[in-house]
Amino acid sequence: MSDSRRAWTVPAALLIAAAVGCRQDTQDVRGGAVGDRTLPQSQPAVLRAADTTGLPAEGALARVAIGDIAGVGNNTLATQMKNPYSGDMAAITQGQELFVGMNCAACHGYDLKGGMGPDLTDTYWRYGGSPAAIYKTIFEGRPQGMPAWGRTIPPALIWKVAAYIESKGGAFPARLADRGRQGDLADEDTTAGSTLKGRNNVY
Amino acid sequence: MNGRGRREERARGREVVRGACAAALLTTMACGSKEHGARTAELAAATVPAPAGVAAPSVAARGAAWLPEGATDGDWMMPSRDYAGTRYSPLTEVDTSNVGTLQLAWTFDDGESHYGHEMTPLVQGNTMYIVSPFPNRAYAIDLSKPGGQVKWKFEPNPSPIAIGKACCDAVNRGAALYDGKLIFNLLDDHTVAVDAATGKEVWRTKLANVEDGTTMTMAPLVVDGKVYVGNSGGEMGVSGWLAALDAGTGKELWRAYSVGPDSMVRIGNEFSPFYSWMRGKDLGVKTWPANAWKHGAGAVWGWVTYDPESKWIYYGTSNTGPWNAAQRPGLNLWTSGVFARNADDGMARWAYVFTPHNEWDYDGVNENVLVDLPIDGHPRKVMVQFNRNGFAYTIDRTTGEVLVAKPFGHENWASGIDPKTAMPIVNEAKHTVPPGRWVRDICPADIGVKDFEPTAFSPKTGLFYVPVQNVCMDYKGREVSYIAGTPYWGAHMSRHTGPGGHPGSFIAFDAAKGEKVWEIPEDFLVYSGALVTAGDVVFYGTIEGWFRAADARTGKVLWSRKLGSGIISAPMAYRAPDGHEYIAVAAGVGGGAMTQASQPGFPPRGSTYYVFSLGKNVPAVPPQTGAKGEGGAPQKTGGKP
Amino acid sequence: MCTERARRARRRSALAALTLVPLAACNGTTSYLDAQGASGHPAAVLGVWLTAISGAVVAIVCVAILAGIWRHRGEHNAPQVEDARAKEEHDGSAGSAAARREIRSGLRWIYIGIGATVVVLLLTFAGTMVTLDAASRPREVPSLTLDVTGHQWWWEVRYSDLHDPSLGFVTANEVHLPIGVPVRVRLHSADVIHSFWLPQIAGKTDVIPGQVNEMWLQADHAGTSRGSCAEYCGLGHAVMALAATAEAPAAFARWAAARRAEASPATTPALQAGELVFVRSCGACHAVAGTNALGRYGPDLTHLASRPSIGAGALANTPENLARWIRNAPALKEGSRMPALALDDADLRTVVAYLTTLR
Repeated sequence: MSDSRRAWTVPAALLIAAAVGCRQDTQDVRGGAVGDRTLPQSQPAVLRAADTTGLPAEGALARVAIGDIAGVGNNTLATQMKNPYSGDMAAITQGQELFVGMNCAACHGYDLKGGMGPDLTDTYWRYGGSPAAIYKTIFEGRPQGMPAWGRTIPPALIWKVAAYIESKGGAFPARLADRGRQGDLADEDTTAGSTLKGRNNVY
Repeated sequence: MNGRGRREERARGREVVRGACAAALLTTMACGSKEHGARTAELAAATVPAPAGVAAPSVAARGAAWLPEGATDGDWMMPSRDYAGTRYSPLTEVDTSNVGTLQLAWTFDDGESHYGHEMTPLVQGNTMYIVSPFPNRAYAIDLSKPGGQVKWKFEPNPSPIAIGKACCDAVNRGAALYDGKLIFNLLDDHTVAVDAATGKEVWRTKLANVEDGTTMTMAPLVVDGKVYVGNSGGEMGVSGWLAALDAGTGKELWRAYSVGPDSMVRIGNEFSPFYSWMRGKDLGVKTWPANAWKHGAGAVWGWVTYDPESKWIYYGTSNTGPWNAAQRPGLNLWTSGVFARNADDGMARWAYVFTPHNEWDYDGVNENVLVDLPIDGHPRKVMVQFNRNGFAYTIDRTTGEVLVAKPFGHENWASGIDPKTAMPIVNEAKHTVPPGRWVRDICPADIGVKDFEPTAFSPKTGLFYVPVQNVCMDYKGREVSYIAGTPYWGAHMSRHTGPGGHPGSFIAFDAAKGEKVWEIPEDFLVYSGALVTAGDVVFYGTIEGWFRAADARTGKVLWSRKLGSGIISAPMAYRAPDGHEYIAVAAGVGGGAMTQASQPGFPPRGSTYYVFSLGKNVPAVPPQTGAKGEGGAPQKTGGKP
Repeated sequence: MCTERARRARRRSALAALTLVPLAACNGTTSYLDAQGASGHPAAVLGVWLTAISGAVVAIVCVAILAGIWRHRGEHNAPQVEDARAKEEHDGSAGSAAARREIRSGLRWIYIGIGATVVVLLLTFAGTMVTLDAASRPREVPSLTLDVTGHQWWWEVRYSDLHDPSLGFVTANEVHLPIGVPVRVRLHSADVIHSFWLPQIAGKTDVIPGQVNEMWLQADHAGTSRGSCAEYCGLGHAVMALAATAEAPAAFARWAAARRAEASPATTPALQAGELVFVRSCGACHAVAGTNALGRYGPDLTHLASRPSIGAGALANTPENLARWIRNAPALKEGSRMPALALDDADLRTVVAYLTTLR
């Protein structure tokens, strides 16, 4: 490139950048009073589907048994439903924020070792310890004072909280859900094959 | 010297060293051995000797007006035996000379070992009454039958939702006997009255919704035709209250809230607090940010006492909600304080707040014992509260003036109580606001220097007998949302033993002077209430399960027995149908004592009531129920091999 | 020739640079130069002065360079200097007197330049100190305190009175200021570094997690303006606006009293149903004083209907936008912590109707 052309490139670039930026601001001002900025017409509001697709259907969850109701041995598929957010660090982080923000930590402990509510890191689960069972417990509430969150927190967020609880090591992996119901997994390394590195805290 | 010689020398040297180490180890082990007998001697040696010749106090003799109607010397018809809250038994059969011969007479297990046992059994005439923790079953035990026999059982079936809403175990702190009825609270916010003779329900009143996080664990006070009950839920963002029910029908007569406008708190023209910062209109709203008072707690989960001369009741209010004080700037009246109210209409006469703008969960609900003490040479009508915050308050119960306020255990959050305003002088380093950072080593911890476990007062010695806790905490506050039915907390805590290494001790305290008189240090938390008798014997227990009797004047431990579980209730003394004195206590660890559960040696849960008497009163073979012969000769019963 | 081309190139770049200057005026309401408040105005004035002085210096230097170039155009400076030096060496001291005179006259300009510059710098320094003093402390102790907490990506605004805790209240994404009254602002962060900026009133102050930064504000002219976050804080940084209104103290007191009050109770069955849906589905994160919805995770909504925008400037506050926002907030404001709520149409209509009554 010749000298003179090189000399023009920088100011030209600045000019273009300023022009673009300025246009945004004038659009702002043209919008009128404060906060009147609506979406530019050229961009239709697309409802992002990420929050609901990929999650287990509510109907399928209805078939997940609570605890050890007799007869459920015939239908194990529902209990073995996977948590789409298992092992997903971003989801686990958000799950932890919710665990504290929704006061779960106040009953179950900041370390999930229990207090007013039971320990969530041991392998004893009154109402089932598979991801689907944990989801149902949070969604429906339980008789001894566990509140029902299903109408308050959207399904995606409940799965994320379940993913956080799973990351603490007490839950049964989905594929072993039925064996775990009678405490048979208490001494086994249930993390084999899972995406989590170790049994204990991911943090 | 050649190499081998040197090696031999070194080998010999090592032998000598090993021998010395072994000797030292054995000596240390021998010295540190904790055999029962050695332990008692150690305890005796560790107490501070009392000053020679403890003077007889000028305490007015209390008449029958201070006892529930119909109570005899051998009865124990309410948790503190009398309306003043003294937990003093006039029985003299057991005294310092013979308490060493106490033997187990019989036991009773209520089968509820899931939860802590905080109840003191009641006795009237030939019957003992017990209420279990959730599900709050009531039992009447016929004491005229050898070993005690269950006369009736009452199953109230409270809602299990309450279990998940109780912050500190699904406990019950006791019942009251009145007019032939056993009256107590259910965890799911009902008060029930049961016919004491038949065990049939007489009335049941619902007082709140358990789904909102309110529970009821306190023991009602029943006097003059009214039942006084209060709620629990200081950690759940409830609105605290005390209600009066009609003892005959259970109908609610009035309810006094702890926070809110004067109309809700039942403050009227007769209200006259001693200190200026508590005078003003609607302070239960004005000392809070807008709308924060509705979930400010001030729950009434402790003890209520009654002065029959003035007909006033005294009770305390719980911590402030939420624990994270940054969300509620202001003095936060009337939480963490004490109310004196007219027992008839509930209108407040005076109030005092122990820990305004409470940042540490120091509730004000502990028992307010009503005694007459000589202060500066003059006899004064006072109430004494050993508060969670570590200060023992002696307050004029007619005006609310704080006469004495001295620490009765280790505390470092305040350097004292200002004598002019009676406000605490807070140590700047122990503020837990602003939140979001760890504040280390705040003493006492949230469970306080003394929790709800009640003291006892002996009019003979003029001293209070106080269980003392030595636990400190690291505290980190955080912002919290109020979500109905979940805890409204905002605190992350860890606790550790305080300085000196003893997590608990049992002391005798002179509330007129504000001084400790003697102390028995313990290796486990002392979370039990106290009993003191006219025989000058004081009883208490530890959370490890040791139940001890000590000389009320000197603090020398005279008798100890290890029970099946930790003791978190107060013992009582009664006269059985055989005319002898018996001491009863529940052993079932739980409640706030579970904060120590990781301590080595911490016992499992329990559910047994132990009844002791002097060895001579406990025959080797007690007479059998319905036995035809005597001396327990075996009888032939038809059809059995 | 080489130098001729270089000269032309330099001239062209100078012209190009000049064209950028007017574009600065494109920043309508969010220019720091527009600051009117008692703490922001001195800084704006200083800014203008510094710009003017700098501009003047640039102009003088340019003129001097151009004058020099013009005066000596066509000459070959380099050989002249070389000749003078060669002559000096050759002549000794005789021919260098002329050279020395030339050098001394050049030095005179240097001395003049340094002197003028020092004077200007000293004046500027003095002006800066005066401005800093004016901007750092208000004339009187502020009795009104604002605690502003920056969240990702909204502002929590808490008003409190030093003496009376019951006068405090909370709102979100809006700030009202009484004219002529200094207000103390304490800045907290709930997560990452933000920066609090009300351009027409005061300068920027960073909002840093783990510490509380303090500043003060005073609005001197009535009107509304737009504040924003001025430190990149994540996906929603650009949509983190603050509506700032300055009004007479009496109007401010009325506004504060209205904000302090609880939400008007739901009277009709439809509104009560809406309140129920709200408490159940929104109350865990949002607060409406007077109901059982007291969440602090998201902004306080007690007086939502009287706020100019939704989502800290994401949408205008209309019922249709409210419905779209509740349905799927992350699609409208990228990264929004508010999830897409699975409310059925009837519930959505009921709750939006309820929300529009929260004035």
